[in-house]
Amino acid sequence: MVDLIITQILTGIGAAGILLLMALGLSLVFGVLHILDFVHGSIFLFGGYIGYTFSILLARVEGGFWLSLVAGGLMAAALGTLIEILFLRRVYDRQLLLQFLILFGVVYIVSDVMKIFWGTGYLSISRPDFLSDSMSYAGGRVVVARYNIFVIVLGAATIALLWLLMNRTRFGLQVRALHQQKEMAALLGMNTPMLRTSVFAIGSGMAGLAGVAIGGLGSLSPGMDVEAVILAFSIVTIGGLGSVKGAIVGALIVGLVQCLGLLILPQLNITFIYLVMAVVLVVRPWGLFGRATA
Amino acid sequence: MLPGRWKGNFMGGMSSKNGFTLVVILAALCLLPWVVSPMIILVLSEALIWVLFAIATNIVLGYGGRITFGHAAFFGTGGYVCALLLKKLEAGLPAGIFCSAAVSTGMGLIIGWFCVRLTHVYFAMLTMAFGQLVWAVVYRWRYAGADTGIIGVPGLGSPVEFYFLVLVLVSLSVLVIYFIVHSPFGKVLVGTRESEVRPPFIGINVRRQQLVAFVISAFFSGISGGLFVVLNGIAYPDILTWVYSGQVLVMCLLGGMTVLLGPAVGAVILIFLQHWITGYTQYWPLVLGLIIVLLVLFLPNGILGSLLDRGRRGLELPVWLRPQK
Repeated sequence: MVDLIITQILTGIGAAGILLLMALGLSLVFGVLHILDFVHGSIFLFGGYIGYTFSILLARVEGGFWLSLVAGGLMAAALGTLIEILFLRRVYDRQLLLQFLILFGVVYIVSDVMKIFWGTGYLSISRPDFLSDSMSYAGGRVVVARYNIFVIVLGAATIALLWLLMNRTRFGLQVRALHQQKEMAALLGMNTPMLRTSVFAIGSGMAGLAGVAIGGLGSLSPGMDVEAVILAFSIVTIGGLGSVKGAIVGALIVGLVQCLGLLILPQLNITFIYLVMAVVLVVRPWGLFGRATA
Repeated sequence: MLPGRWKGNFMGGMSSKNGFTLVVILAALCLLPWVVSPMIILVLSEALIWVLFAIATNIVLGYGGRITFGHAAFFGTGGYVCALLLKKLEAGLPAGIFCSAAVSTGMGLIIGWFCVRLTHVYFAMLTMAFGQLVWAVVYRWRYAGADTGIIGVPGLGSPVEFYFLVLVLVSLSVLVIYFIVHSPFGKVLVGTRESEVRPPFIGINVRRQQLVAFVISAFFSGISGGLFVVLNGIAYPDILTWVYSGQVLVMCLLGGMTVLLGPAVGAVILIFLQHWITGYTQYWPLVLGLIIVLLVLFLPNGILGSLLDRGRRGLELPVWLRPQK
């Protein structure tokens, strides 16, 4: 039993790696743009589908998986840029409801267009050889899939890169300035529309990476877009909207609750997550690590 | 908080002329079964049910100024309660609808109790969390058919009979909502929408006001959910999800949230459009998405709301649409 729990905990941390990529992007976008990015899930699925197409095209090429991963991330960032310029840019100064509804509309559009291109079946991305087996410890009682380790590393590497970008570059400095006082940032001559677009593109790219990663772990299918974004919403609300530390803890909580919930009460594992989300919102609306401003 | 100027009336004013127009519309709706095909009567019944759901949602959304993204919880609960009573306990339709409304009201009280403590994004997120919670429970609930739902809910004999039942119930409910939002309670509710800070100075409890509005909204959503399930003969978990919560928001946006009958216009247009377009293509969501995006960008006040705004600027309008002083 203990072995099983340890295995599930490790699987949970692996799942948390993917969730974290999703949630960090969402949190970044909310933190800087103050927008509840409902299309995040659609971009995530789009990235996954692009990764799938590339992995089919590059099936014989050495390192095709890595190229697919990069392509998925980049194309997702491109789609994010397009959505930001076409739609989001026009509603920054509008009411919350209108911002939310326009993204809701974009979700419908993107999901149907993806159905036209990729159909409605289940598609999975083939993993590279050295990631497809699993490692066993303690005489084969604790089993860890190598792919899970890869996902954890991918999540950690992305956090590290994001941290470097935000804290060690001129671009990051400008984004933080925009986050703190947008009027002042604009007055000082920063190109705020460009900064906003880049932030949205970065968030979208992270969602795209998560999409490719999940395509290798399980499969991609229509409907996953909204499922994923609602899960990501629950993570960032548990952790605190706009907080990086919150997103990490939230992703761990949701990943672990999902995997341990499978052991204890398989029927109710999704219920647990929404319950945690509701309880956190009732007790601490600004989340575990957010600041009580609104 | 909300787009456009506020017109807290049926159609910008309940003058005798507007009252007359409404009577004409109702009379036309009563005569329709002898004019159009039964197929259209079915679609019209569905549209009327959505009219009630949309107007009920708009009590929280338009009058209360809170973005609810989990109202399908009440619609779906009403539906499931009605389906369980009719199918499993073989109760009558009146008992079914009554219990739908009662259980939804209770649920509105519990969920609302927590939700009214929050505003803005947090209100939206919490309503969504509760909505998904209800869905997740029902989705796994064996007695209620888990993911397939409850199939074969008995309805009324003929579509026309059911149409009249829907027409009567919806008209009465909308009339009651009209009186509620035009009572002092309604005025105070709009006050709490406009400001969180000022109402307490004259002794108004913002949260209690919002809670009562939330519960009233849940009550009418429950009725509409019960009717919806009887109409379709099936209760499925989807009616509890964000798809339905979102669709009702789109109806409110389409018709206009600033007029009592705005969501009704939106609901009728959207349902007829849906039935018409799904006849041609399977990509209805794509069309719906385009409609939403265009509405937000170019017509954020909705159809009725924008017509009323034009009217103020002196454009010639039919008498019944002209805003009243």
